[in-house]
Order: sequence, then C-alpha cells, then structure tokens
Amino acid sequence: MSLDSDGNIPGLQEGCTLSPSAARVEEFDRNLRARLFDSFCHIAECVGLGESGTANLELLNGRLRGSSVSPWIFCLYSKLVAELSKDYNDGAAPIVADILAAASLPARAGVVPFRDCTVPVSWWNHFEVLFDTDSERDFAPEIPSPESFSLCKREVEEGLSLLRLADPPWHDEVQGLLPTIVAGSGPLDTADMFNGASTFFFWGGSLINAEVRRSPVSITDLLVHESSHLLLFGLSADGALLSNGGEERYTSPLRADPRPIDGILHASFVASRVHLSMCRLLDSGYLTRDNERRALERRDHNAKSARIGLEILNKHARPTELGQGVLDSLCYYWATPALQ
Amino acid sequence: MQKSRAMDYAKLLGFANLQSRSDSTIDFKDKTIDARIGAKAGGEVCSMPDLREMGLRPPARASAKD
Repeated sequence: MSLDSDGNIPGLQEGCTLSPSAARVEEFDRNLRARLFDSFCHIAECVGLGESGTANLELLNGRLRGSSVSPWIFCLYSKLVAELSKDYNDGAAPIVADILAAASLPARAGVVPFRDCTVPVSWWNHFEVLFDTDSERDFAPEIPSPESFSLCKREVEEGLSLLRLADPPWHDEVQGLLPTIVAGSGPLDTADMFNGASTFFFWGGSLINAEVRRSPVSITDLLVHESSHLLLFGLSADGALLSNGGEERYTSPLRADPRPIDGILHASFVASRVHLSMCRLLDSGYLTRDNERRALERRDHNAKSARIGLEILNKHARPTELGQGVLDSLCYYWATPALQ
Repeated sequence: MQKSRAMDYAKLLGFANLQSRSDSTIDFKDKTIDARIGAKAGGEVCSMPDLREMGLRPPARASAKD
C-alpha cells in the first residue's frame, strides 16, 4: 500500500488525530504547564503560603510559562496532592522544596537509568508509586546493569536516527513528547517482561525496559507506542475521555489482565498509531529487508490489537464529547477503504 | 503544613475526575483511581513480535493476544 504525499493512508478522512504533529505537542505542553500552575495556585489558596511561598509561586510561574519543564515537576506535584489529601499531613513542605528544585532541571534529560543518583531517592520512590498502581500485579522496575543501560541507550539513538531519516514529522513528535526516557530493568520471565509504561504524572517521559534487545524498528514501535500514551494524556488534560464507571473491567487487546475501559481506549489508540507509523516506515524506502519484515509483522500485529480494542469500545464505551473525537478518529481510520 | 480548607479536585490537573471523592485520601493503587486518573498506561508484557525478535518463546497465555 502506498501512502499519499502527507504520509497518510489514502482516503483517510480529514481531522483524524492519529497523524504526527509536533505543533500539537507544543500546544498540549503549553496547556499542561498552564493547568499545572493553576493547580499550584489552588493548592496555595488551600494551604496558605506566607511570604516565601508567594515568592516561590512566582518563581514557578516564570518557569512554567517559559518553556517545557522536567517531568519531575509533574511527578512531585502528584506527590504533593496525595500528601495534602491526607487528613493530617506533615510532609508537604519538603515536597514543595523538591518541586522548586525540579524546576531548575532541564526538560530534556535524554535516556537516564532508573534510580539515577542525580535525582533524590525520595523522587524515585514516588516515581515507582506512580507505576505500581495495579493491586493484583506488582510492577517494580529495578536499576539496569551498566551493560543493559548502555545497549538500551544505543538502541534508542539508532531508532531515533531511523525515524529522523524515514519519518521526520514523527521523529519531531516523539522528541517533543519524550525528552526524557527512563531505562529500568524488569523480570526476565517472558510472561511478565514489560516493554514500556507511561503515566499522566510524568509528562515528558516514559519508562522502558533496558533488558529487552531491540532492532531500530522495534525501538521505533516502542517510542511511538509510549509517546502515543502521552499524546492521549495531553488530549485528556481538560477532562475525562470516557464516563464509564471506574470499577468496570474489559478484556484488553494488549494485556492478559482485564483493564478499565480507559486502558482499552489507550491500547486501541496507541496500536492504531503504531500501525500508521509502521506503514510510513515501510513506505519510506529506508528499511533493510530484515527491518521491512519486522515492520510488516508489527504493522499487522498492531492492526489486529487496535481492531479488537475498537470492537470493545464500540460495544461498551460511553465517551464524553472529548472522547468521542478520539473514538471517531479511530473509527475513521479503520474504516478507510485502503485498510479493508 | 495544614490545610486551611479542602482542595477542590476539579481544579487540580489530573485529579478532576476525583471530585466526588473529595473527602478521600489519594491512593494510587486504588482500583477506581487507577481507572479515572489514568495513573499508568502500558506496562503490558512484550508483544509476540518483541519476543520473536529476541528469540524468546512466548508464554502460553500470550498466544491469544497475537
């Protein structure tokens, strides 16, 4: 299948949100930083800040208005809210100090090892809390060996190089969504070997498994996959995408355990985008024969996952106005005659 | 640091869906919070193409996902 001059599936309806856009990422980033500052202002109203607190808030405002910030600010903000949600809390003041320290960090840290000592242990502890959210399945990344980290970092660089050559718009979007990549280590048992994970509260970064060896096509798949989770977080920053109850669980096309319907939407959205990305790589003419075979396999695997997810969504999802837009994009995409 | 008044979760980025739980302590492992604030996405096990690329055999339960 040949793509059109914009790198899209021929006949794809206009307005489909699946295509890459670095400009859209910048818009989401600005919105999230503005919303984060508003959140800090609300917290300040609730807790009372005093003179130094007001000055700190102004410092933070300047940083958040200026340009992209470190994902650690979002991580520590979620820690602060959790601490303040307790009836009696005595740990908020150090977290505020940590947030100010995180404000001086660069947004782009590149590939860093999990529990890198340039960041305090307490920050990593909360990072782990954000990823270990499933009460029935422990998720506890570990520090990667120097060898695994070095290989993983090189593979990310090779994947980004391929993307830069073969698909510059998608390369720019990935760079915008993932200025920081945390490489952790996970179980080697294939039944439990995670590939990557992302959280709303680490905007600008994802966690990937440094123990998994990846070809340039495989790492491209992963980077598009994880950054697409972040894109959906950016889309949902102004409200929920679905109004289904939080207790509902459905079969996921990507996981063995039943997932909330939001997870199914994420799975279908990211699988659809990886499908499009693989189509674009295949159309680019930059793949070797081996990588072409890998991209074809990943294209078809993601098509199947996305379609299964979409069937579940069409049956059970109760989308909000915001979510309806995402769902429509998925429906338009998979209804494109060229994909039948 | 003591709260002088309760936070309104609707005004907090990422927590807006918790507004009906304004008297609850946030627990990121809470099943309903996990769903509503989208705390984590992904974390799925490696796909069949990933495992094949590493020369690994997929677990039996993963076969239905391929």
